[in-house]
Amino acid sequence: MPTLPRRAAGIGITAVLAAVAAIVAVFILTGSSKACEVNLTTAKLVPADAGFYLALNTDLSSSQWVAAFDLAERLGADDPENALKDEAFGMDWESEIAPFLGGNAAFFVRAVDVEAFNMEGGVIVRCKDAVKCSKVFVKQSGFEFEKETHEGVEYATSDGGLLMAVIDGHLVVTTDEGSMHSVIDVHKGKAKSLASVDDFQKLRDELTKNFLAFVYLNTADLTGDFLLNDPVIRTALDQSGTADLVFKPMAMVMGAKAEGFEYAAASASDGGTAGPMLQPHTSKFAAVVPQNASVFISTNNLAKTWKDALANSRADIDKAIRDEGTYRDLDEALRDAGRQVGLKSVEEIIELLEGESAIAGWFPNGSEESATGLMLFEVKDEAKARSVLDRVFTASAVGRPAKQTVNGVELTVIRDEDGEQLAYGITNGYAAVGALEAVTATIDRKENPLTDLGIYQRATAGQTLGTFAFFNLVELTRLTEGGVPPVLDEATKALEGLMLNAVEANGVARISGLMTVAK
Amino acid sequence: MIAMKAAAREGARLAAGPLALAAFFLPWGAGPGPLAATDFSGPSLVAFAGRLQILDLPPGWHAALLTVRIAVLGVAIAATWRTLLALIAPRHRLYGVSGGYLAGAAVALLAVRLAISGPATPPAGVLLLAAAAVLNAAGPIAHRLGCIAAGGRLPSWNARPRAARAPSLPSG
Repeated sequence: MPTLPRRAAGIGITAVLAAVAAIVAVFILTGSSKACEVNLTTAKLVPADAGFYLALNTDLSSSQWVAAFDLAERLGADDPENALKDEAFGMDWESEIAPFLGGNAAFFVRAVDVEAFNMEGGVIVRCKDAVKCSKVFVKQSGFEFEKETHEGVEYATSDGGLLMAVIDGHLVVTTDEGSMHSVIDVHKGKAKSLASVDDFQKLRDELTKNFLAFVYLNTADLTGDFLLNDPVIRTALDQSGTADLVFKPMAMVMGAKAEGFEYAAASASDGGTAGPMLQPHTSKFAAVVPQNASVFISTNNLAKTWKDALANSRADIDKAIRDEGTYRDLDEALRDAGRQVGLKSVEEIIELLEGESAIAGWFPNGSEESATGLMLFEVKDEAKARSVLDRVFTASAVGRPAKQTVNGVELTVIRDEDGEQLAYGITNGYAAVGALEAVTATIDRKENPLTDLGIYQRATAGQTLGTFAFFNLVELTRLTEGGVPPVLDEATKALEGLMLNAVEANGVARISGLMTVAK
Repeated sequence: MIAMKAAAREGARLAAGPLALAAFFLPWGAGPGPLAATDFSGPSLVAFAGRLQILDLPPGWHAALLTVRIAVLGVAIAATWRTLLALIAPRHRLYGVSGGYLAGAAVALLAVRLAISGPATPPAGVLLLAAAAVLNAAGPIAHRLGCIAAGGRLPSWNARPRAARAPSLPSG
């Protein structure tokens, strides 16, 4: 009789064990993927007044290095891991290099004295074996070291001008005593570290925490009184409207992933007057232009950006134009430029660019001579757009504009003074203006769109796009006057696509780049 | 004396699982060549094999890496099972299976270490896993030796000593 309850208990225990196995597996897999993030332990020792901080990921088993070695191989390098080990700066990898690879290493600068050609800062390396590292450093430097102490922490000064200490598993080497004392003060909790600075934290959170290299730059700290107190430089920056960008801290990361090498930068300031252009948007035109577009640039809200820029600095622009001598102010310059293309002012065209605007170009025969392209922009008031484009086309045409229908859309076609056939058409809420061949191919939609192209998909995957430019490197690197070059080196052959992107999100302006490499 | 031996046997039986679980998180050894600075433990080995899986590798490599990940993950699962079952159900079939898996993993790790580094002292993780495997095996082996010495019938490898009867409360 106890068989049934025992059997039920056995089944129950087995079920619990299965659940336990699942929990253990999920726990370990999740935990191990989190370990990919680079823990910047060096930033916790660098003084808060550091204006420049460059950190390197020194974990060669990290996803970043695994991807970087793989990409290097795809670009033609032969066994890059062992090549790195074999070169090893003339040192023995296992006994003299490996102890330094403890996860991250940093170079920092606290101040630059341009006049004295001097720099205060140092290098901090998270070591696997800090004592062994200090011995290797002493041996390799060839300097004589003498012991000193600060706040009870031992460090060594050398006849070569370098100072060295082992602090909390890190080898610290500085160029001056002040920097060494600052690092020790940070370690002792008597001074703030760079890791505790708000801007540093904000920028670090904004960018990926998984990288090969991370750079933080605070020009104001770095240059100190030298620039900030210089009235000429300060006024010039203020007038140009770039003071915020120059003096606000910024950070950059460089890394590698399966698709290719990536780069991203963020500034603690917002996009300023360029803000409207940098707003995130999904490109409608990438789904319209043919997939053989080798160059595709998309932006947003140009009309508003123009309006904001004028509102901020109209007086400065007018003055600059007046000083130049040809026109009295910007309005007059724009009116004159407009008259040459049959408009009252060039602003008539700019006012049309309220939504997304894009430029696409490609090379149908694979040669530079066959280049063709067009501009696309969203149209909110079709009558107004037609009126502007008709006047521009009539003013630019040799002879009378002709009409032509493609895919049910009426195109206005002209031949310009160079004999090129140009066309425009408005359909589905957008205008296509450019070479007849390009406009026809775009409106005809016989070819698959750019969004169907794997290279474009890989270059844009997971990215929030603002103003961006995509380059199909497979097409562009094969362009020569004679067509496809017979011999391309391994690296050029492997390049696939390049994506440059500038976007503003969460009050932070970010610029990123991704170069994809073929598998 | 008999009670002490029984207590030691019981202690060894209960300690094997937690020891193996601790071994999973301790270093198993440094990587080869350029990875000489990296101490691989169970979780970092699972993660590293996962990173390699995303690469464009020759056919068969993905399956091999997946097998390695599952095999390493198996050590943590077997150690957890062993820990739980030693407490609640030592007669469960998976108690023996998990013990066998941990012993196999220890032998495999020691063999790999011997092949890579020669007869050097293995890292803490490997030593602890080996110790867990010895404790796993010690109970049944000692029991069988006892049976042989007593001239009795050999029990199965998975047999556990019967649970001691609960002491009766003193009457009155």
